[in-house]
Amino acid sequence: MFKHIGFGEIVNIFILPFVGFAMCLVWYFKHKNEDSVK
Amino acid sequence: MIGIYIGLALYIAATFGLSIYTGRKENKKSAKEYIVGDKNYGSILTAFSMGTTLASGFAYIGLVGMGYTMGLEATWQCIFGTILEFITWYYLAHKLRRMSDMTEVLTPIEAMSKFHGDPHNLIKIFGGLFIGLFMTFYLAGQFTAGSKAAAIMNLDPVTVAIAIAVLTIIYIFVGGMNAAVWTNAIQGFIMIISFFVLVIVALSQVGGFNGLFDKLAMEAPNIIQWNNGKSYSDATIHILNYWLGSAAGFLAQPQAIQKFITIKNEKEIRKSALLSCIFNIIRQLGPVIIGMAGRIIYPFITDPETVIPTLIVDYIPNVFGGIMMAGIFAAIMSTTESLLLHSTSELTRNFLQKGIWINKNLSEKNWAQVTRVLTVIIGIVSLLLSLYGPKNVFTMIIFAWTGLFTSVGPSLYLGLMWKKCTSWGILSGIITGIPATTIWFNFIKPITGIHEAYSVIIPLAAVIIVSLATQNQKEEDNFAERINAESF
Repeated sequence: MFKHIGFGEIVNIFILPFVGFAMCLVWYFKHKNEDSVK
Repeated sequence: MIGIYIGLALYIAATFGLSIYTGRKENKKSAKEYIVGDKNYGSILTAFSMGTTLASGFAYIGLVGMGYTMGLEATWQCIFGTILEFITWYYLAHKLRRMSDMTEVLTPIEAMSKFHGDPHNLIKIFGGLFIGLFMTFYLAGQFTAGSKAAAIMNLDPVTVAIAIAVLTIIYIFVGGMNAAVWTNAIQGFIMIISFFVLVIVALSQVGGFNGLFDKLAMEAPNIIQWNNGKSYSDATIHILNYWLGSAAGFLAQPQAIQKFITIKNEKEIRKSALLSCIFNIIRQLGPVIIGMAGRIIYPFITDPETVIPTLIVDYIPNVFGGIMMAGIFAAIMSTTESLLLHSTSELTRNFLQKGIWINKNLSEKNWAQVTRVLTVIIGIVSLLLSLYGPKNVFTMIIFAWTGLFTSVGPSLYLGLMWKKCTSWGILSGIITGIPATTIWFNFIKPITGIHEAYSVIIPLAAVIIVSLATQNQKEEDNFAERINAESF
């Protein structure tokens, strides 16, 4: 697979689709304690 | 094929039973409970409901076709879609949920009428009417998408469009929001399972990811390049114009934003956003991979949008395949349910109850009956539009998706976050959004090629200019400021 793709494709497949998810993950963990208070 | 039909029948039976069961206690309740249900939906239910509302039949039909013809480039739908959906959760969810507690608002338009007041009820009247009616066209487009999917499966398109419309009307009529949320959950579950299974089936036919890229490198090298063979500058402009324009709608779909009002409490929001993002990635990357594999499995297929049903008929011709096939209808029906409920809600609550019929002395039970009658009328009108209206379904859906974004987005975000925004500014954004998109779509886009989502600059300018010009108007209240003062 990797012999056919370059840096641009690797970023396009493995990094960019998960940027939104990563932002969400940071937001979730940053406030995890206050969200878990009953 | 018999097995596939049995699987489809099982899906219909399950969702029908669930809608009756979850909707049974809604029958004697008020319009408020019909529109927002228990307002007690947890993070999982809200995430599924949000995800399935935003995912229409486009995921199984259009996006697969794009994966087939454009390859890696189609991943931009997922890239922008997920980032913009996160932004929506981040900026709106807590504030709208809190506002619904403070003011008992039931819909996004009603919330916008409370940001800086609505002295003549014009935000509710025009917002409720424009959004409610525009969604009727969107709903019609979804029914047509269902008939297109049916034609692919050798089912009668008209019968299937009628069946989808009738089932949608029954689900919403019986259970309102409660039925919509619970059937959305089962539909979302079916969609996730079907994408996982279909990706595995497709990749197993081409030798996994290694085989897929080896074969595509020989057959169609452009589609495994990030720029699809274009120059860097052309590719960048194309991505910002086409893909960002298409995904911009994620920022302000009223039927999705409604889920922020019905979530159980603010503590569930971030968990739900996380789950919704995961759902978003699965439903937007899965079809692209299936489409790319389809290019190798079916190099001479007449219509690339038919890859999924063809794959199911060829490789999973049994009851399980029928459940996979049901994923297509699950995607369509989850969206039609939310659209029907939301268009009815905006028309009843804002245009009628709080707008032109504000002096009518009807009980909450009477308003619930009005809402149900409107549900049936809008459902039937949408079906007739679908059967006898324009057939270019995806153009219609994309146009409606963009129109909702342009008419709601600027007023919603500026109204909530810009201190100088006024109620007249919000109203001008709502009124100019849909006409701006219509003019842009028909006259500016054909000449310049610029995506119709960029017509958002017109309502954006309208909100800013009118707000600055009406700074001296007295505000009846300013909930936007109160909510922002409390936000964390």
